Amino acid sequence: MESPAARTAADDLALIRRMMDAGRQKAAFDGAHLMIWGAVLMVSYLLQYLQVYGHIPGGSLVIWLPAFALGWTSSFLYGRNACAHDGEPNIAVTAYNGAWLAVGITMVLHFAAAVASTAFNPKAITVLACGVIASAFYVISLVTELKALRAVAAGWWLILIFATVQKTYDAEMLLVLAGASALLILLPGQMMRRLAHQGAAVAK
Amino acid sequence: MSFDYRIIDDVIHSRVRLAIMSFLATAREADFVAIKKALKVSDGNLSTHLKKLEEKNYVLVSKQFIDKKPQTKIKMSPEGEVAFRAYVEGLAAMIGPSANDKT
Repeated sequence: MESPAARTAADDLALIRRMMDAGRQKAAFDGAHLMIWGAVLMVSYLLQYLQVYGHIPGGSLVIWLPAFALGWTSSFLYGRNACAHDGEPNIAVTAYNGAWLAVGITMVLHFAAAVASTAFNPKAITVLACGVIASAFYVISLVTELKALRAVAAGWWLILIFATVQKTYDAEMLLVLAGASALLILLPGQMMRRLAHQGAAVAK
Repeated sequence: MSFDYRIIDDVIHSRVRLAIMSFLATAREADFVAIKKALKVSDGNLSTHLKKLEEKNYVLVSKQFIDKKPQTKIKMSPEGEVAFRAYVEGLAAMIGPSANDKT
């Protein structure tokens, strides 16, 4: 901390603003959203895999509608709780939140349009999901300066390539995506949470 | 503009304690190490200031073990929120209306 010599009210307000920014980043980057979505997606993909082999009745909507509802509700409640105090968020927090909101909106719109038009294509939705998730992780790696997240983005891009070149798109791809949700969303979320609680995962 | 200096809370007015309260105002809850890194202060210095805030019931301190390691969690109390808001409003009033745009 700086010396209190010659301190003015304007200095105090500047300090308050700086520390509130640091606090917002800590709250925003604590990885809880990623842990929620990683777990929701992993379970959903596993359930869909079981459904493909007839262990669970019903169609995809039985799994994915509750999954989206649970994920969005948890994100909304957690986000509201974390930002309850006020706040004009800073650019880093806005970029972080905006990246994930864009992923969510893209996936929900694509899923809804595909289901409504009965033109659901599992390969297309997988490629799209991998692309937008990879892009979001890349943006987050830039704003948080966590280089490990670039490896996570690269992981999603590799899955995008893998899914694209598959000639037959079988149910085993669901297991790949369940594993990816655990390794490339849930785990990075847990890492960010640990770093944030140690005061490290904050943008400069 | 007239300004009542008595509304400035002496407990929050210390620079380190003001920084702690500002950090907690948006982080809601943080552990000791996170606050120490954000403020760039020593363990002893932070402990002393946290104790003063805790005595005034502005922060709630809880200790737990995670992976067999002790962890101290600090959270702003409802009394702390009220006091912090009053402090910021007092400062803003001291500087003038343009200050409200800065926080």
